[in-house]
Parts: sequence; C-alpha cells; structure tokens
Amino acid sequence: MVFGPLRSPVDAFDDDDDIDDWMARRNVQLAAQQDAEAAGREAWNQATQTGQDVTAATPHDLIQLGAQKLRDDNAGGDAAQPADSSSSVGSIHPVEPDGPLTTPPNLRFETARPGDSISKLVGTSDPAAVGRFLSLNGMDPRSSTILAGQSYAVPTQFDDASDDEMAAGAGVLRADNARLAALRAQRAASSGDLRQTPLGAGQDLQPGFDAVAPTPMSAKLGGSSVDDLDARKNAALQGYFDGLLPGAFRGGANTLKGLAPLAHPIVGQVLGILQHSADIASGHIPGADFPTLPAAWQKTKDLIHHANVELNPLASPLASTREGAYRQGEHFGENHGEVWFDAAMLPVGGEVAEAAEGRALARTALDATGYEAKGTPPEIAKYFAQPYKGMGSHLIARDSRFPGFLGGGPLPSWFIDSRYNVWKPEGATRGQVFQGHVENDLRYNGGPLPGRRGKGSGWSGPKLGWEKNPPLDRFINRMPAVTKGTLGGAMLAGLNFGYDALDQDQPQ
Amino acid sequence: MIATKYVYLAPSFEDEGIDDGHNWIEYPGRIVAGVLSEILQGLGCKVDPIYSEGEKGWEFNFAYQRVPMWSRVGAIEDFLIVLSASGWLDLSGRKKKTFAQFLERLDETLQRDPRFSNIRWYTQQQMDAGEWDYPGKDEPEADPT
Repeated sequence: MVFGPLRSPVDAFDDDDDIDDWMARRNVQLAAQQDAEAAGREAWNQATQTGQDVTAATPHDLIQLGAQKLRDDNAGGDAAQPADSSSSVGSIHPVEPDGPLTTPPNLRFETARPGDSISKLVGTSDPAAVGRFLSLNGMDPRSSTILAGQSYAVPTQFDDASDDEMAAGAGVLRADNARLAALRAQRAASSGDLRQTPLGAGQDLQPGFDAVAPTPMSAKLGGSSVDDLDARKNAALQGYFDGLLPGAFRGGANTLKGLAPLAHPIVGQVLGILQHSADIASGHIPGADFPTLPAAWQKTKDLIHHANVELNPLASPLASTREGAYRQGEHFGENHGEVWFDAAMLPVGGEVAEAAEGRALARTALDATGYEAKGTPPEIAKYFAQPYKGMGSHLIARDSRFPGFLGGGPLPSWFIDSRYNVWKPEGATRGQVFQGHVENDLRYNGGPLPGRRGKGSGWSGPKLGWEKNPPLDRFINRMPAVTKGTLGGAMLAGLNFGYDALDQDQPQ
Repeated sequence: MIATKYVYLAPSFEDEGIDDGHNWIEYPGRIVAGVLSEILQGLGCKVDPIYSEGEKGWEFNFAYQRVPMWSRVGAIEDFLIVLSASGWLDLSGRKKKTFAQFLERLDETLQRDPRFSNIRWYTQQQMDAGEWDYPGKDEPEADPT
C-alpha cells in the first residue's frame, strides 16, 4: 500500500485491501503495546525492589520503558546473558543519579480490575491522592472513569500535591458523591427496600463517602462471612434481581432527560456525533487528519469492550467476597433493567415525545402582545398568535419518488402524509410553525398575510430576526416528534450506553 | 440539491389567493406557478403537475435537457420563486452547467415578458445572509420597548 502525497486521508482508505492492511498493522501494534506494557511493569517492579532508578511517570512512559526493555533483550539475545536480572533493568532507561539513591519511587503501576475506582486504587479518598492520580494519568479532572484492564500510575506519595491537584481531586469526589447520593435517593424512593443504607465498600463508592453508619452486607445476605462459591453465586443472583427495577427507573430517567430539551431535539447527541463526523470529513476540524480512522477504530473497540464489561456477567470473574458478588450482580441487574426499559419504550416512545413536544410548545407560545414586545408589527403579531391550521411540513417531500433501481414511481401517500413524515405539532401557533419553517427549510423565507394587498401584505423571516439552522439541525427539527420519539428510544439506549463508555463521565 | 437560485419578481396580473380575511383558504402563487410552468414548457422543459405545499407555496418538478429540477412559488408581497437542480451527485459538473444555461434562458425570457417586472436574482448565500429585498428591509427596526 503506497499513499501518495496528494492523497487525502479519506482517499487513503478507498478500497477494502487498504483497510485490511491497516487493520492488520494496527492489530500488530496493539499486541506489541500489550507486550511492552507487561515488560515495563516487570522492569518497574524490579527497579523498585533493587533501588534502580528508572523513569516512568505515566502509563505511557511505562510502555516506552517496556518497549526499550524488549529492544534491549532482543539486541542482547546473541550476547552473553547479564549476571543478574537487575542489570538488564539498569540498561533500560537509566538516569544517572548525582549521588546515592535515597528516594524511593513515589508511584507504582496497577492494572485496573472491574469494580476498581480511583479511591480503591490509591487506597484513600484524600483529594490530594485522587488529584495526583488524575494528574499522573493525564485524566480529565471532570472524569473519574477507570477502565478495567488498563494500567494506571498510582501515587504512593501525595503530600506535595499542588493546589490544582487538590482542587481536581476534591471536584471528582464531590461529583461522584453527588451522583451516588442521587442514585441512592432514587433507589430509596422507587423501591423503598433495604438498600437505603449503604452497601459497604463497592466499586463506585469512595471510601468515607457515607456519613450513615454502614450496614454490613453480610447482615442483609445472612449467614456468616464464609465466601464459598455457592454463597457468592447466590449473592450475585440476589444482587442482580435487586438491580433490575432501579435499572429500569434509571432508563426512564435517562429517556426523559433526553426528551426534555425538545427545542434542541432528543437526537441532539446523535447530531453532535454526526456533525463531528461531518466536520472531520469536510476537514473543518484542525489536526483531525490521518489519525482519524485509527482513533475511530479505537473508540469502537472501547465501546465494544465497555458493552462486554457492562452487560456480560461472564466477562468478569466473580468477586471474591459475597458483598462484592452482590454488588457485581446488582450492577448487571441495573444495566439489564435499563436495556429492558429502553426496549419496552420503543412502541410508546413516539407518543411520549409527541406529548412532550406539545407541552414544550404550549410553554413557549407567545400571544400577540408577546410578539409585539419583540418588535413584530401588530398585524403580523395578531396573525402569528393564532392556532396553526395548515398542512404542516413534510420531512420527505410529497413528490418524492423511488429511485430508478427500485422501479421509480411516487412514494405511497400513506407514508408521505402520515404523522411520521409530516411535522404538524398539535396546539402550536402559526408563529411557532412559521418560525420552524424559516429556520429549518432553507427555501422558505416568509409568507403573505390574509386580507391585505400590496405593501405590508407579507412578512419575512429576516425582518423578524429568524435565522437558518445548521444543516443537520434543520433535518432533525423537521422530523415529527413521533418519529423522533420512536427512533429516539432506540438511539437513546445506544447513546446512554455509548456516552458512558466514550465520555467517561461515570466511575466504573 | 445541487444548486439553488432565487428570483423575486412582481407579476402584472392578480394572484391573490383566497382568504376569509383571517385565514388562507388557498395561498397565493398558483397562477404565477402556472404561468411559469407555461414559460418553462416554452423553453423545452418537461413539466410535472403543480401541487400545493400549503403556506410554503406551490411546487412542481421539471426537467431541462434531461436534468431534473424543482421550483417553488411563494408570495411575500412580491413572489419569490425558488429554482433548484435536483439531486446530490454531479461528478461531471454537467447538471450545474445545464442549470446555469437554463437560468440564463429563463432570465432572458422573463425580462422580455411584460407580465413580470422588478426581476431580482439571488444566490442561496445572499438569501441566507438576508441580502434580499424582503418586506420591511429598508424600514427602521421597531423598538421592542
């Protein structure tokens, strides 16, 4: 595969062979990266034990360290083996100290397991420790997501944390605690079950989070603290069923959250993704050139990995304690409950969205005085304030035809004039619908007033300050609410999930 | 759409629609669209029937030299006519070139036609930027207070 200098990033992948080649090379790179990471961790552990000074301030450095070690090992393969194992580490990435080594390394590396949180990894909920952790791993201070299977640099010393690190750590703790408090309140309100009291140390809870005296999980699960396999399985199963209902409520809450801002429709998240993709494709994102496809592939892999971890109980080993197993089961129960809720919403999502749109329109409708207050001439204000009684706006034009390869001919009227294709919101005023037309139909710019002739007989969008929406917004806004709701249920299910994975807003 | 242009013009004949003083029963533009349809047929276009799109105006499809096109006629004091070359792909550029030729011939015909006056052409960019002769453009902004 040869990429000429004039080929664009998109052109570079213009046939299947190119993509296959790239995928193969990428897979080799990823495998090598895993090997390097393992070698780096080994080197770091050896150096920690022997006092050897090596530098690896971040997980990326750890991989570099391992790669160097592997290169050195390969280069020295034909030569005599070193006298001891530490000497091979010493040749990895030596830092010449000015004097004897007196300062032990102030971090270690750990691979996160399912259920780990920052606090769990650093062993404390001290904001300084959390902030230092964020800083060492280059993590966004707004996120505390820990990905299972990924290596993290864990600070062993943090009393010298900077103010920024302290603030970042405190912010993450605050956000997590607030989110968890809300979740707990939701559970308590919805189920009224025993879990109004905390479950003890679990995957999301930051140590020290709960002000209420913890109830030992063993009290709820009964029996002793013997954690045999059957007991753990039973605890996981109990947790699973306990989690289903809260999960369904979470699905409802997320769906309503998505439906609420109908002024910027429920698929705004999709819009953002599409807009982003369109911007990349059209070269409007500086720097988003050749690495775009690998980045997209990595994101896809992250999403698949996240789905596996979050939905497949067999993807993670059963926790070693019954409390852990209960939490594990409960976590899967909540996720499955949410998925089931989203699936159940599909048939009724359209109705919900339509009702929500009606309420939103009623809330934002202006009367004649309201339009006049915005500078609209009185005769136009009076006309706009009246209920809309027109034919609405077709998402797919009335005269659309099947493409030639499908035999041509007009699209059936049962579809063209159906409520899934015609945006005609119930209860809207003329002003609301006309503004929607102007903002979302590139070719509609104004109209006539009844009962008037000549000058002053028409109104125009520009005069009223109405501007065109961006292309994808126009398409989405012209879509009837019932269509958005029906499609949105499915999209939201995926988006709620995808955003959890890709935006890393939540601890895992 | 591959390309879109606008022509804003004033007809000498009446096309006032039907209203009851408060509501439109039939929006203006059907007669202008009918006259335009005849003109296009005179230019060799194959023109489909006109249909109403409610308050948005009167629309029809047509083809010029086998290039599919579309038009909408709507009243905003004068009549705003939208003309577009339909479709999404024009790899060879033939459709755009044909559309440009068509617009030139249409403009010549409209300029000669005594039924139309005050003919003004606009691009999509001009329309989007509000750089067209919309009603009230030259009037001072009303004070909302």
